[in-house]
Amino acid sequence: MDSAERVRRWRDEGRARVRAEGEGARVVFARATDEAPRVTLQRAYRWIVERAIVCESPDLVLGAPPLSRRSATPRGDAYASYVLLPLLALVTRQRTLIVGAPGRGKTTLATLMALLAGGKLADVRRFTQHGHPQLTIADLLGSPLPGNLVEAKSEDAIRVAWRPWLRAPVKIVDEYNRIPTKTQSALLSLMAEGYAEQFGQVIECGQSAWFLTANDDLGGGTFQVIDALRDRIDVVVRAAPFEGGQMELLARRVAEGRAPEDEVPADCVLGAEPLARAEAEVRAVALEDAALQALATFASQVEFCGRASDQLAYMTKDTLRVAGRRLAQVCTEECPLDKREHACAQTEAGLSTRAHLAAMRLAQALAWFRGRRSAGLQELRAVLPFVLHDRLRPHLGGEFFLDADGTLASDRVAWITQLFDRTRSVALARAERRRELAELAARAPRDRSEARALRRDLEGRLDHLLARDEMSGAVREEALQLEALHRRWAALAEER
Amino acid sequence: MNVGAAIEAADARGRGRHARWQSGLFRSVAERLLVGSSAPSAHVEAWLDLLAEGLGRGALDERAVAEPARHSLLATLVLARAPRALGELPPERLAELWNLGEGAARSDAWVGRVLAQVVADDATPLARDVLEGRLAETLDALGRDVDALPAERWRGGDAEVHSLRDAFPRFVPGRLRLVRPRVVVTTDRCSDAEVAICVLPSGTVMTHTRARMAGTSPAPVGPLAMSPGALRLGDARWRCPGASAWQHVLCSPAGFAVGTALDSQRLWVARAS
Repeated sequence: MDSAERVRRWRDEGRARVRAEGEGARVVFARATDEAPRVTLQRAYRWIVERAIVCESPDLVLGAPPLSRRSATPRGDAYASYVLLPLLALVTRQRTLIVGAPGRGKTTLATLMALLAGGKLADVRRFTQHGHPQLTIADLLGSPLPGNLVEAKSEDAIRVAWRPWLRAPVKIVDEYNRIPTKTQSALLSLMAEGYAEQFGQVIECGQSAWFLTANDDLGGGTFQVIDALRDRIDVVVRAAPFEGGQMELLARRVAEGRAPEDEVPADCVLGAEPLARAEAEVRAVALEDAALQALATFASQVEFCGRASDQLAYMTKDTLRVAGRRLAQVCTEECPLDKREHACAQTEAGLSTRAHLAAMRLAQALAWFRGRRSAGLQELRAVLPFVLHDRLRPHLGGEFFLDADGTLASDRVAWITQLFDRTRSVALARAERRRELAELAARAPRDRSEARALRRDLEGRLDHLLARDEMSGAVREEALQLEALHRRWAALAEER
Repeated sequence: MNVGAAIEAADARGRGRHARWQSGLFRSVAERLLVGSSAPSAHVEAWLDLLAEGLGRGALDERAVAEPARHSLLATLVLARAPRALGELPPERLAELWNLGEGAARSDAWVGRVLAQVVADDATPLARDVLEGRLAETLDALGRDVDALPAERWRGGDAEVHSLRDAFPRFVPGRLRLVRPRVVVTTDRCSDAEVAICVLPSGTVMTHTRARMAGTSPAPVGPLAMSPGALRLGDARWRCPGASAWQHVLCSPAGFAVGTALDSQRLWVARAS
């Protein structure tokens, strides 16, 4: 292209255009299409923490730990979880629960997320569902028009007038714990699979980002949230504490009479196409082996209950739960393990597959936000407490919490972080054995006789492990790996 | 027209559009550059739109405001040239100027700064044909290809003397290398800093470069004979006042030589004709 043509293109293909307005004209600018969605999201993050909902104390810390346990002063990258995690959940279309006392900006934050996704304020407000004790499934999902219901000769002929919010790309349910238990069930398939069913009719809503808010239970009028719904929530964030730095912002709001949702800057809005691009970019972020291994170790240790069964596979809290036995009794009265050392003694249940998936996706999203190509231990450690916040119930009656200083019982983020670190320490202490296991797993027997020899070797190792080490989450994890290898090589040894 | 009200309205729009909006900076720049403006209100409002977009997106900042021509073509057009000629710049032309500036920003940064300096002066009218012709001509000159100047066309005379002291106060020009036929880079003798010297048909323009510029240009012409106060190539001789102790001299096939001296922040440009 010659230089004159190049200059002509600059002039004619630029973003600036003139638009007639009233009697005059204005220069308007098209959206910069070459901007990476990550840059837009970073700008949105900064705008929220600096101008919309001031968050002066970043609590999501990566890299070196804070200067002290009581200090939020970070030594590595640090972000306000209250803002960053909902943004990442918006990009990855996950389900976020925002918890906190009334008036802490929970609904405002949820509304901002919908606006950043390109929604109009009037629509966002119209589509927001408000939980209350009389909310019915029909209120939530829709119902047939009365005339249609009367005239229909069969269920197939009933046409449901679906509520318009079901098709919104960002769904907000305010005070979801004020929704009656029966109505909560109607949200299950909608939240997890993206469809709703009424009168035999099904509406496909696609995957959406969800933002639910919940007050504490102290105000009354709340319902127990069913476990299945709780598990469908991918991440929980706590409303930001009020800080002195917010006074200036509040004074400006008083002076201008404007709320943050009235003034979302256009250059922070992502819109449908950039959001889709961002989601694809997040999916392309690799998950590092170290992170996956750490998550597996964590889940294995938390899930473990040596008193649930004699079989390795069933030594889980799930086995206890299904049998209707109480963990408190088993753990306190029957189990010989040191409750202050073993992670299994701190929780009432293990992790669901959904929890694993949510942790991985959020870790990927965090790495993407930081401009990294892979998500590692740092990202996983940072997001895990928020993913497990409502899923992992502490065994508060256990010895660990009786001995602890009490703050871990109320600060779940701190509790889960120490729990993760504890499982990592156990894994590091057994690093040599795990390295041997990894080497074994990498071996490929050349023929049946070698497979048989390896199998015998494995049997010896397994016997030795179970005889030598006290059964614990870490030992069970290694024993299960040995068993899996044994099955693999047994199949090879017997091949004809 | 009420300039204050126009600034107020543009400020409010900017806040709604940009996350990093700095109301104070916008107002101070707008008020300073519009002092005494008698341009039609439509022109003023359109220019305020440009200023708001530039500051809001971060394409313009305090450094751009302080020294537009050393910042970028966009800064030069929006902050230096347009306010002085606002009466003759309808919104349509202002939009075009923005697009030219933003388009140039997609080139290497140093190219953008060269373009900025080339049109910084009011001597280059902002009319479409003239301005764009000048930009295209400069881009051509900065291009990689050039026919080597035949030996018989080299003529001596007075060399241009350029002092780097004003633009690059601590820079002491040292070794030279040819990175394009019309672009010579000199490295600071005390640091890794570099200055690109663009010897264009319309004049010599200098700009700092952040990244180390690679040179793929044809081999320099030579050898040049150096003597105190003079350079010579074959029969051509240039008078170089003040060049008592040469540090490094380089001659381009495009038809010029550049020299630096051991004891000076100046450099000498000897053109072939």
